[in-house]
Amino acid sequence: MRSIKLGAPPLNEVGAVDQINETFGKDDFPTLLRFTNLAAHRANFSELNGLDLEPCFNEDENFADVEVPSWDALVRVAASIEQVASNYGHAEFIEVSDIPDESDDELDDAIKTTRTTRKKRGRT
Amino acid sequence: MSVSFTRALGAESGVQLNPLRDNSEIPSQDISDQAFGIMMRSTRGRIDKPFKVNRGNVLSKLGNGEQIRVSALNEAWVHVVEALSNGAYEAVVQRLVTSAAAISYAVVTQGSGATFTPVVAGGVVTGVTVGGAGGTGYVTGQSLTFTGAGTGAVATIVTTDGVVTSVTVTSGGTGYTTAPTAVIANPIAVSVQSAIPVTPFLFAVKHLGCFNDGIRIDFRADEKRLGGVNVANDFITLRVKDIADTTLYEFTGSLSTTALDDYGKSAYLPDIISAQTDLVELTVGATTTISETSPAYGYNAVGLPNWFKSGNLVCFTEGGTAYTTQDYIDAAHKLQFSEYNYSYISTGGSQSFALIAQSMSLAFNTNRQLRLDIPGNLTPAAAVTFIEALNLAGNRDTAHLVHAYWAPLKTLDPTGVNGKTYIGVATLNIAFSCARNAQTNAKGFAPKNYAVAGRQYPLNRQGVIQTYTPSDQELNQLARAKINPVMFEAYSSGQLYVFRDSLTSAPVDSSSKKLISVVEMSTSLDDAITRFGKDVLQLPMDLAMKRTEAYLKSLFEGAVASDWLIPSNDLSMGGKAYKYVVQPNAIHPDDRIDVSYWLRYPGTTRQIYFTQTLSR
Repeated sequence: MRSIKLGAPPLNEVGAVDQINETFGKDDFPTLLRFTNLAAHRANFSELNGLDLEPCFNEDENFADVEVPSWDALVRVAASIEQVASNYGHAEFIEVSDIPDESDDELDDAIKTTRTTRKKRGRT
Repeated sequence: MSVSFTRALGAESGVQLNPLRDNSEIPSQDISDQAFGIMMRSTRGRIDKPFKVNRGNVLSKLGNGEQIRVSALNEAWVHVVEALSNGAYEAVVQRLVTSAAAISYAVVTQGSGATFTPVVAGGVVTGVTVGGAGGTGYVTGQSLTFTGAGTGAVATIVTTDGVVTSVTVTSGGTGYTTAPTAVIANPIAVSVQSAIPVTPFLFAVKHLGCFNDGIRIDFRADEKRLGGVNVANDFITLRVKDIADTTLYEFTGSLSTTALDDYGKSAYLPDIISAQTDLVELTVGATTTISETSPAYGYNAVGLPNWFKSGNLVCFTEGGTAYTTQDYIDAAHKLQFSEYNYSYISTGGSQSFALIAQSMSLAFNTNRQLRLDIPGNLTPAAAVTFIEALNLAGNRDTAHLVHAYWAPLKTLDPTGVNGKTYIGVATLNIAFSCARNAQTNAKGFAPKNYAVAGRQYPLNRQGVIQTYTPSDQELNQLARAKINPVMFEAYSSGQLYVFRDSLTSAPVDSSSKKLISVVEMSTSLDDAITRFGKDVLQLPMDLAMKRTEAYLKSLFEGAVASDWLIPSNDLSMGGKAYKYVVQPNAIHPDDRIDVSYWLRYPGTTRQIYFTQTLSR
């Protein structure tokens, strides 16, 4: 499963746009991706289908599976994530990843955790 | 001798009259506070530097609007069109593009020199022999016209670098008892090319207006008579049109570099064009005349001028909308150093933090007010999260210039492009401010002490539906976050949707810096004073100080008379509304003046406490 953590550019060697280009640059769009808030405060990126994420300690609400309509939209939101991360000084702010399939979930459940996650869709 | 004086008297006896000295100049009234700057996506508009649009040319310069449901980036267009219809005199636009944006050339070629000899067998054209070594300036696909006994032959040419290499006969026709003649009736072609070709061409047009939907090119040459016959003409009339066939520009000039007009000035077409506009560039190729047999030459059988008309030429590639932070930085930089003046900055309803952050930098660097929208579909808590992400508390020198609006309203699109949807109101607020600023008094001061909020400035959109009604606690939360709600309010005269508050984003509670009206006036005075400062630079120190003192006195007296300043209750002000000091710098007294001014602005009524007491 592909996953990258976006944050403030001075603290990362690679900028957010370069990161998503390396990881998701060959994807077809629209595509479904998971955005997870790694910060201890709420994160709102309404430019991407109303993406609104609770703080990281709220494990059921700190992620959302969002349909990213285009590569352009993904680049723009990555630039915004980078900007807000800079404002807050977060080296790691938002994790962008593929959505784990059910078998992964079952495996995780079986191995070590009983934690359940509620997937939610970004508002449109 | 017709005059009694000379301008330069030497040792001789006489009278010298010196040139008129003009001390009558007063600061001009500009309209910068009726204009706003914006970086935005549009389907038309130059990309190399900012350009101005007004109510009359907004559609031709920015193109037609596209729907917000297709892309949220299209909201900015609605903002600009609405603002220009509601008081903003003009908008200074920097078009957002990525590094992939590219402008191509519309290259016009005129084939000449090739000859065509049809080969006939059994009444059918079976082939065409190319002579004249294929000529130059041809384009693959141009059709041959056959004239002779038969009918129905169809053939097109194949070229390499403009030279005809072969002819493809797609239909041999019938009835050709003798070989027909074959010519290319229309040897003119237009193609879109990324660079100016190295092969012969007539001219290449580069349109810096960058229309996503393309342009059209029409041109013609008038008849030129020599020895009683028509000859090739180097003077042409060129029209650049949009795809609706509306003429954007018309130029008449020569393709010859040495051409002169009747007054001895250059008539070379590129010179003519550059004198009229910087949005069109023309490069003349090796072919510099229009042939007398060309379809763009002279007149047709009924006496109407012959024009060559191109099809739609898409000469600009937008290159997508994947804007990176660097793209926003570049756009803000161009707006900062634009030759055009404006007092406000709008984010055009953008929800991009990267764009808003660069707009904030622009506001700080230029001391201009930035008005932004928080998406209306957010709850108050989410709206607060949105504004907190901008870290305005950490930008104390910028925050008072930033004014945020949250309108939980679905309205009909004032431009009609979209249906009922959330459309930001910050740019409309700027427009109302611009309309107010146009109403200057005799001293040149606009009523900027009146905030654009409350009952006096109702939202004038149609079909408004409020989708969220915040509680008192949420309104308090919004005010603490310095967010101005735009919503339904009841007044003695009726019920209106209004800008409910007029707070800046300054992280202060009791300072007048929190009031938009104060920032409006203080930035205006700063702007006027710094402009005057530029005027007296390089004058002798004493003179510069005297003029500065006189200017400040006049300016502040005018501000007091216009209710921009009121008596201060600060003891150090001695009851005055203003105080200033103009003095040479203690360490650099020969080249540096220190100017300090203290001003007391009036406030804005935001809260009223009424108490009724029952008495016996």
